Amino acid sequence: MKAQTPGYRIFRIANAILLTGVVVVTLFPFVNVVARSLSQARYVRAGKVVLWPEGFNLLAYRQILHASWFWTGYRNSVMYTVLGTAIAMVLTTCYAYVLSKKHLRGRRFLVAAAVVTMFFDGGIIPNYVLVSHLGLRNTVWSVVLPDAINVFNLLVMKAYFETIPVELEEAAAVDGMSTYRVLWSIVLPLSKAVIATIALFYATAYWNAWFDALLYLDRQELFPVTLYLRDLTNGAPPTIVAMATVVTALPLLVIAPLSQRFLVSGLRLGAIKG
Amino acid sequence: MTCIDVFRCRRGCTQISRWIRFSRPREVIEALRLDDLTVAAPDGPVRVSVRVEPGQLGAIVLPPLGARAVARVVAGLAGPRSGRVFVGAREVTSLPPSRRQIGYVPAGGGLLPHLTVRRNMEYGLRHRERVHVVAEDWVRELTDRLELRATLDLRPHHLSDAQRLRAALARAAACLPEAMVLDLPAAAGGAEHLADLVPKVSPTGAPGVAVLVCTADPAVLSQIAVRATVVTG
Repeated sequence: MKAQTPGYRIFRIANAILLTGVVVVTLFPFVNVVARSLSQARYVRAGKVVLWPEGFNLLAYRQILHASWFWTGYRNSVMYTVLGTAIAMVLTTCYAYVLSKKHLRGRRFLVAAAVVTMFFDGGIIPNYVLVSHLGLRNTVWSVVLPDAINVFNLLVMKAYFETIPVELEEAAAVDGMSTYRVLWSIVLPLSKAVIATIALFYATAYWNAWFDALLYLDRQELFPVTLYLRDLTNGAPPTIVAMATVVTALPLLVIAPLSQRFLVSGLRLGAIKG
Repeated sequence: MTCIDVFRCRRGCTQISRWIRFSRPREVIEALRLDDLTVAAPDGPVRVSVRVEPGQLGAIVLPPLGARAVARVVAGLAGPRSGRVFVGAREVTSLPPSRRQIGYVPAGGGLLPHLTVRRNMEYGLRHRERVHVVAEDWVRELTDRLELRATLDLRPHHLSDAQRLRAALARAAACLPEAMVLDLPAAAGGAEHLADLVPKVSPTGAPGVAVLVCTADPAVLSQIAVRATVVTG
């Protein structure tokens, strides 16, 4: 085994210190919120809760478990996340696959049409007018459709599709497969890593989204849980807010480790080309 | 020949497969013919003429990019600038790839990396209606002839270059094409025995498939007597 040079050893130690710092900074807010959710409100208001609950009690949990509005929002969030992610994945995958074809006429225009929206947004009022005129206000679609194609995700997926050897698709075309069949049976199975990564990005974005709902939804029965959470921050007891935050973050905390394998390989996308 | 193997194209037309045609006299067995086929290759236009008889190997000597361009046009994946492609008396120039009955082995083999060798071989069969027993018999025979039995459950990245070429040949031949086009870049592993492999991809009793090899590899070219007339520029 090759001996480690002193410089490399120093690098590793510095690396470990830096990454430990990152872990602490990342974990601290979450541990703090959990501790607040299990503490008595007076200790939280007094700022005495840091990493460990003070005056341990489960009152906040009991209140949240019995709050029907919270679970309605939770159900809505799940629906928006599942539906939005499914639609976004279909649209993004199809668009990215089309853009990955170098011989496509008008490809540069299609890429530009997508990239321009990444830098120049229409703005809140034009978007509101558009959604209203399309008759989407106070419907599920006003939350799901406006962010259905994220250009960053689109470009990541396009870059990945471009790395798939064209010979594989050509051999399939000789076998009589249609373009959609090639996409479904060859390109998608070879792109599991990027699909899982992008799906996770979309799911996280939809789960955390509240601003579109605030703009376009008036009916409370359609509110996502994040909107309730936002309303809670205006005057609700701090333990309830902390508790609602923990329960809201729970699904993502469960999904993230499960998709870690795909996420790691997905994050390497574009690092090596050819 | 008692086998009845019916290919049915997507538009509903039916053609009796080569299994039945093998019982005809030798003179009607299909040859692959390129008549002044002009192809837009990256290095400039290439004009090719060649006739490869059934069971014969023919070569188009071109650098990799040009060879690939010609192979794609013959397989139907790109259109020619001018000229015609014939399989026997049948002109296939304007037909889509799946209706040409030309097997195609792209550079690198084109094996799907997420499927085993067995699934790769069966892949093309799934998209054609046929008598399954006949197709399965032929795939089994092909597996034995190309000595792929031990590799059937392996994925392409587990194979050696020579095994990968055999698997790619088997995949292209599984659908009983009337002719085959091979795009073999320089130093393709296993191609040094190509002349021994090609007779194995035709059913017993048949005169054999006309195989056109697009390559500049001297090891491959040394095995092939028929050369295409190629005019570049």
